[in-house]
Amino acid sequence: MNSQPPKFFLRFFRWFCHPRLVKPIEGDLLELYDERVLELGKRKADLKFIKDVLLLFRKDIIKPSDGTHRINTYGMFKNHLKISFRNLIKQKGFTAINVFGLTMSMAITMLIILFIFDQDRQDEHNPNAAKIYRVLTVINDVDEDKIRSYGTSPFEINQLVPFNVESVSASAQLVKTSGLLTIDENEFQFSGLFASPNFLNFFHFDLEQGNKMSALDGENSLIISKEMSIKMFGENDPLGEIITIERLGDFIVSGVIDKRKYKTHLTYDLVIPISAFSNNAENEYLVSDWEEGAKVFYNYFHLKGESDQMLKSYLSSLDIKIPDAKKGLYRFETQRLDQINLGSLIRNEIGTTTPNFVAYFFGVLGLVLILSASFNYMNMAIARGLKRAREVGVRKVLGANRKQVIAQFLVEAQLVIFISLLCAFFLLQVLVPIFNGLKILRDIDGAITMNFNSDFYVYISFIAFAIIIGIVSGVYPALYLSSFRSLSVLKGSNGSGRSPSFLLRKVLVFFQYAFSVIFIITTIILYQQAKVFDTTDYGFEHSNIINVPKKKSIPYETFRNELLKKPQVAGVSAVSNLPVLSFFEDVEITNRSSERENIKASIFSIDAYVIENLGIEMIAGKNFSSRPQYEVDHIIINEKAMDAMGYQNPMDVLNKTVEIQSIDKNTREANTEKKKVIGVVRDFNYQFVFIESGALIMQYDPESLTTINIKIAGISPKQGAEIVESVWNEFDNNHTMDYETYQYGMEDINAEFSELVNIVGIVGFIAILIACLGQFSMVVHHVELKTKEIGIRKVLGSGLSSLMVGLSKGFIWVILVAIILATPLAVLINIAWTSRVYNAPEISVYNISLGIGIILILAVGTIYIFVSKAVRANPVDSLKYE
Amino acid sequence: MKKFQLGEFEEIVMLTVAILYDDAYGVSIKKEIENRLGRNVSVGALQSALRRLEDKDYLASHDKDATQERAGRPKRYYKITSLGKQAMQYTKETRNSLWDAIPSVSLDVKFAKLFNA
Repeated sequence: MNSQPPKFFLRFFRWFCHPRLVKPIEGDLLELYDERVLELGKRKADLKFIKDVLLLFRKDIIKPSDGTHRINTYGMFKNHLKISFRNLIKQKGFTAINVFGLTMSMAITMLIILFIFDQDRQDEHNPNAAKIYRVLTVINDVDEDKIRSYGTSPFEINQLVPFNVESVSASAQLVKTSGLLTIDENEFQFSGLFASPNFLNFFHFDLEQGNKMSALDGENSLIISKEMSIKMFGENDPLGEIITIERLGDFIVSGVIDKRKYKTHLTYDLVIPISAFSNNAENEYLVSDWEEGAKVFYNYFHLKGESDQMLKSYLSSLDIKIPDAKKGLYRFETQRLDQINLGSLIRNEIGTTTPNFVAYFFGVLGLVLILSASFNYMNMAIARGLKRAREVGVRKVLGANRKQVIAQFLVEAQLVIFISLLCAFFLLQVLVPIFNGLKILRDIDGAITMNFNSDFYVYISFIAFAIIIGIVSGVYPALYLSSFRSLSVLKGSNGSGRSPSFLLRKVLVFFQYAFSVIFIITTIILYQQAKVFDTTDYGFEHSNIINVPKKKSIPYETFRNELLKKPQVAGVSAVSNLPVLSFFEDVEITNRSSERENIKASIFSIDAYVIENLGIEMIAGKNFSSRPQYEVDHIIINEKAMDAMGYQNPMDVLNKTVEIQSIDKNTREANTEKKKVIGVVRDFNYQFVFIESGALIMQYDPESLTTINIKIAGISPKQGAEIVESVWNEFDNNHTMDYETYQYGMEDINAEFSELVNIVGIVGFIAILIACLGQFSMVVHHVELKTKEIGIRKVLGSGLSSLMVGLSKGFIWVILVAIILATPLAVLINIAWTSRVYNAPEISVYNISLGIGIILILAVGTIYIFVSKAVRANPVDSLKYE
Repeated sequence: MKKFQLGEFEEIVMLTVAILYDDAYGVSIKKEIENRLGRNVSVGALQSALRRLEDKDYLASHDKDATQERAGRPKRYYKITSLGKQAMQYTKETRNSLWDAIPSVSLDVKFAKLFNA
């Protein structure tokens, strides 16, 4: 009796043993132990006890892993699932409608979540992303009364901060650039970065080729992207090759970087040591002047800790550096590296980012769809619930408490949601490639990369998202249905203790229709805009033109003459900028004789053949002659420029002198030239339709021509390109010819807009579809409730039409209220975007009533079909119902 | 057809429970088997067999006697149910019928030796 068995093993036994068995077996063990102590002594008894305990550790004795007390809930849960499944299968139509609506809206919302998560991943490859800050300049523009944030800050910040702020451990400076580079007389366009030598380490990029530590050390070394390398050198090894950059000189390729490996806010084809920029005498004023420099340099600092407090307080003390006249208008702020993308809109951004409002827009779009679908679930669950009143009653009589009934309905909602989640997930696999193929994403590096391993948390968030939707859509039906009183249900009455909140369900339907109205009106107006694009006459010939870049290896005049010998070539000309397809430079013009000053105008250069070749109509004066030396001081203007200069009659403006002030792109110095107007052309659209084509000046400058336009006749563009290429090869056999048909280029721009129309259209269609399905469920429910009433009314002699009106009045009313309230909102939303677009379609009564008409026809149609069915039913059957 | 399933050890336990009649609980069953068959029985093996037999409804159990010597732990007594009795009967009969079916010659050791040679 005095000796105790080993405590640890006794406790272990108590822990693992099934609670039902623990007492008798422990009794047996203790009895045996006591006997053994007497017989064999304590030590041996202990050992035997331990052996017994260990041998008891087996399947039949161990308690179930989830604990005995949970066994009952598990059984309940299994039962809930089983009943839910049976109910879903019994009500195939409702289930299909719900799963369809939820699948559609969830797939689209998941796509949006994926997109946002993916964008949020920018610069996450950098382990220091949370410690790197960029300095922003916030400028209060008094003239326009706007406060704007710029991603740039003055040059000196990069020198001052590391000295004065203790918590800074490293810094990097970048400058954006673009231009032309030459390799063996081959010209390439590039966009690049000037960067501090520690660029690769600072932003955590690895090189494919070259030495990461020293790639930017040499003053004349540079790093190129892999894409650029393939473009310039093909499969050849680019290391050590020499590249000549316009205005900067020769550089040696010292590294190749594979940009596709990183998602980053920086975009570049090449990286050049920043010394090439700051040591250039031409840029001296940018380096020294805080005001000018504030829009040029990107300054990044790596801090020792995650707090930027010290940096912030130092930046606020830099006020003294700003010239007195601008004091108080300049402010410096910080922005963390991983918060650059999906942050607020920053001007002068170094690369392409998605601002946060785009994410919000998409988020709202998804939310609207998902809400609409879960409203449907709520409506239908309540509608179905009346049929299930008896089930609830029986459950309650058999001892279920309200909590358990609520659990039953919540499980049912969750089941529908998870089936939809599964379907949506498969749909997503189809949607992602389509989404990635969108042209509008091309420019923002928006393609989603799906990776099942690293996106683990994305999928977890999908599931969390599904659970939330399940609770949102299931909780009200569960509360309502569980409130049925078993006594009245079983007596045979309708069973609802309270009336099913009809108002709430009307509000749900109201929202669905309000969303639909907004979507459909927006879609109609967007569609009209797309039609404007398709039908606009640009005022110049572009259907039979092939555009070929003008290269130094091809002598233009001889090339032109050779081409014109071919019978299929109708004309050849050259321009500096392609109307519609490229950006035009802006200048200001002043005409002293009419005292009009600083008129904003676009300018580009042409040769003597452009006006005829592109079919631009001359309304006064003469074209350039083919002898450049006489034409240097001459310009041709369009009608808008003539108007702006204050002339009505084209003849009056001829031979007038204009001063053209332009700002040199590279030196930023203003210079003024005097030119004489020799001709006026009819206005044509040189901008894409939704931007206004204003005053235009065409000058004669053979040096700046970049693109050759070849007009073909009677053959397809492809055949034309082959003919041009055969001539090209006579001049330059080393390089293949790049070409694009003018028509293709124009359609490509149009395609981006059509995509937007299609996206809004499809989302709108789904929203309307879901709303109609919701309407359908409401009607079915309502008619079911009134079956007997209809029968009695019919027996008493009520006519079909009065019955129909009586039944559908309530629904029509909700739809009308939705239309009346949502239409002004739709108009406001559409005014918001059309007012920023030139050539936008009118928000006419016709457009709005077309949208409302479609909604009305769909909604009233749905109501009519089901109400008329119920009304036509034989009253005898209706009266026997229930 | 396998109507009743009873393993070898399970059968021994059943028989012992039957022998002990009113006094069949963990320790007594264990001691009885050890004494009669001279083989060691661990508490684990015994309890596991009792569990299985209870699940098959061959045994019924009830707790009584919270005695001082067992530190207040009750003894769990086992009794054979009528289903358990049928199972034992069945097992015995199948054994017997098999025994009966053996031709007398096959167990004659002399003949067996002759065949092997």
